[in-house]
Amino acid sequence: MAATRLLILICCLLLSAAADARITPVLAPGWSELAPHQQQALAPLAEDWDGMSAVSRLKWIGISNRYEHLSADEQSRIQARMRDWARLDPDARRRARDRYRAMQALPAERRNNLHEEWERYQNLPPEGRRPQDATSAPRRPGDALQGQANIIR
Amino acid sequence: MSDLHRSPENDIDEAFGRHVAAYLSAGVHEVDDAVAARLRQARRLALAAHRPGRSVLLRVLACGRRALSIQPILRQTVALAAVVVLVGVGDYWSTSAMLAEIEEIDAAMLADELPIDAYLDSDFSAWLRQDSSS
Repeated sequence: MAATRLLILICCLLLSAAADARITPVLAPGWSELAPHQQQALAPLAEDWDGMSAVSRLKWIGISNRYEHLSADEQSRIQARMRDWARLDPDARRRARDRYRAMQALPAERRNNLHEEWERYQNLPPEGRRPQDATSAPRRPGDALQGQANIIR
Repeated sequence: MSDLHRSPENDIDEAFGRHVAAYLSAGVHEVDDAVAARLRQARRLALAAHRPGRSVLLRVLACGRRALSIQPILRQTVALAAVVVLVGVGDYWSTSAMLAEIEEIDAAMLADELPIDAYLDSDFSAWLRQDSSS
């Protein structure tokens, strides 16, 4: 009896997952089904659109709905970047979003000057760009020996 | 009913009934098997028709028994339907929340003055953190 119930429960969960998979594409329209203003905002993605996942399409539709509220500069930046961004590895996009969140947590004066910071960073020699590893170089004389003494103990 | 309320018509009816019963009892041995079987069936039907209260009670009991046997199935069906609805609603809610967050971040990053390369460069992020903590 318990096995039957478990089987029925598993079937129902699979059914709901299948139903969800069927519902999402309905909510994620094809390129020809987009409104003209959405097609115009997402024009760089026209070629790739039908190969995108339903979740990606829904995300881009959301972005296209924000598009008309942006300034002309922001609109041109979005359009110039969206194709490369859409073609990026999902993992790279996830890491970039994590860095964006981290940068938003910086003090306001630094956050507002990120563009200048980026330029400063790019002008640095390659060795200057890499963050100093705190564990690789002892800060005070004797620190390294202290570390070895701890290991021996 | 007490004897005080008995009427002469009742006595005549009862006497007539006893005569008929005696006549039938005497003739029962002369009835062949097929007729006896038909009579038995007719008696059963007459008795069933004569006691409608009992048959309704039986029907009610039968319905009750059937309802009781259906109840666990109904309970399970409702529980499973609730599970399916909860899973669906939870999935829809979490997907919507995740989508809204990703949409907001992507729109902000793509429209930002800072190039996307700055967010793709892991060293820049670490350099910024180190630079702000030093």
